[in-house]
Amino acid sequence: MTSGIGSRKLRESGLYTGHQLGFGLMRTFTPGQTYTFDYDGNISTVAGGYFYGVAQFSIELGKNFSVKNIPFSSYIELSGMVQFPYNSGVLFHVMGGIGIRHEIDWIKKVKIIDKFKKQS
Amino acid sequence: MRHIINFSFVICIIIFFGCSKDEGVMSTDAHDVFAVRSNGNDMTVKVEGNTLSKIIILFVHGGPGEGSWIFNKFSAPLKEKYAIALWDQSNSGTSQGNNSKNQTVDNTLINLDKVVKALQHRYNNNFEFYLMGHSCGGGFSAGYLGADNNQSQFQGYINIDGAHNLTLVKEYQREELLKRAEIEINKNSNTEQWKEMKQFCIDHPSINTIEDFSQLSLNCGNSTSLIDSVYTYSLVNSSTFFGEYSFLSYLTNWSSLWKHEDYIKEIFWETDFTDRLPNITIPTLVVWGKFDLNLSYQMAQNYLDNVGSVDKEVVIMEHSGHYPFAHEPEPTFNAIINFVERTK
Repeated sequence: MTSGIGSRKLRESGLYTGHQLGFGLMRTFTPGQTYTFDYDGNISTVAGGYFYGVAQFSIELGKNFSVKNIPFSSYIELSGMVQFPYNSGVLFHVMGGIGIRHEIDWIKKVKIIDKFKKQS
Repeated sequence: MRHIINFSFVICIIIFFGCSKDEGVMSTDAHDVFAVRSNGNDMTVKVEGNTLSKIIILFVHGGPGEGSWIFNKFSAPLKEKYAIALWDQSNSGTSQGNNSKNQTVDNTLINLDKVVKALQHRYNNNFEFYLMGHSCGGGFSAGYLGADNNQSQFQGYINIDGAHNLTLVKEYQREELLKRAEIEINKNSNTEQWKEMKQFCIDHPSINTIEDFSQLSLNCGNSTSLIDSVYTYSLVNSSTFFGEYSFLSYLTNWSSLWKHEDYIKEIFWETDFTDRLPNITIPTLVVWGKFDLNLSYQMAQNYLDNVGSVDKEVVIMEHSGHYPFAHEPEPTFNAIINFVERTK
């Protein structure tokens, strides 16, 4: 679970580039059963995995179709993430993604409302 | 052009809809994974291969911090016959945790015992177990087998270039590297590189720091590939980077464990299990690389001179360095299979 802040540079054609920095929390799981032992050597199962902090940075390249009144954008994204503290150090992750985003353009929505008010 | 400041709040949830059973997988090609929690670390254990054979060989890796992935890369022939339990020790391989304390040799042996107990719990239907240790994992294995009555849990022990007296590793490495450098220089083979190795040994008459020891070990490992008789191997293929488990995790754990100076010093400056060897009486197979510069045959001879086993077998791999199962997988695993078939 991460929360971040970033910016996008949108061109008239709808193409945009962006980057984002985020921080958050990760909960991992272990595959299969996780066994633990008490002081008497009795075995039992527990929920495996741990909580970690994460820092994430991503860069994005996309096309915003809102410029053609289609409230969607498509993008490709490359992210790097650091998971810490991971055993004696930190663990890096590299991720890539492609996606479609629904654009809620509040400014544009206000302009449309104003236009209708003027007309009525 | 517009600049947009955006805030994001992302929740990434991967929900597992699976049932994890508290019992092993019975198959000629089993892929069973579980974890053992100890001292703030969840250590991964993968049981792969032919569990229908009712034989499980527990592999104790070296390094420390190496993880079981190198052995796993070459172990397919052995998995056809038996099941292999690939244990990633604490702070190694794919084991995970957010607490790096309590990394000691005693805790490593305690962890080994927990893994054995977990395997027995999960595979409790007339299974036979063998212990196999490589490099410093061989040291941990010998220390474990020679204490209490731990060896009664195993049919036999397979020692692959294992170091029971870890305090001698540095001395043996320096001696062997110097000796091999002289031989290769006299043969006019890769003369410049061997002269560098020889000069390092001359400049370091004794190894007193972890940094020098790391460099010496690296020199020994790299020099092995310069020897004509040694068969080469590759660790890099598509499964290295796109395999089932995180390669970055292996690398991260391996490199960061060596920053645990107290643990490294304890292993290589203080740990000697020679006095426990006479207690080991189960059958023993010793597999050793003829050109192992990281751990010369002197260590194997010392093991054979002290171990209490009456049934002792030695197989020398003529074209191998420190990793016979990588240099010569077929003859190495044939030797192991013959030993298991004879002693089961």
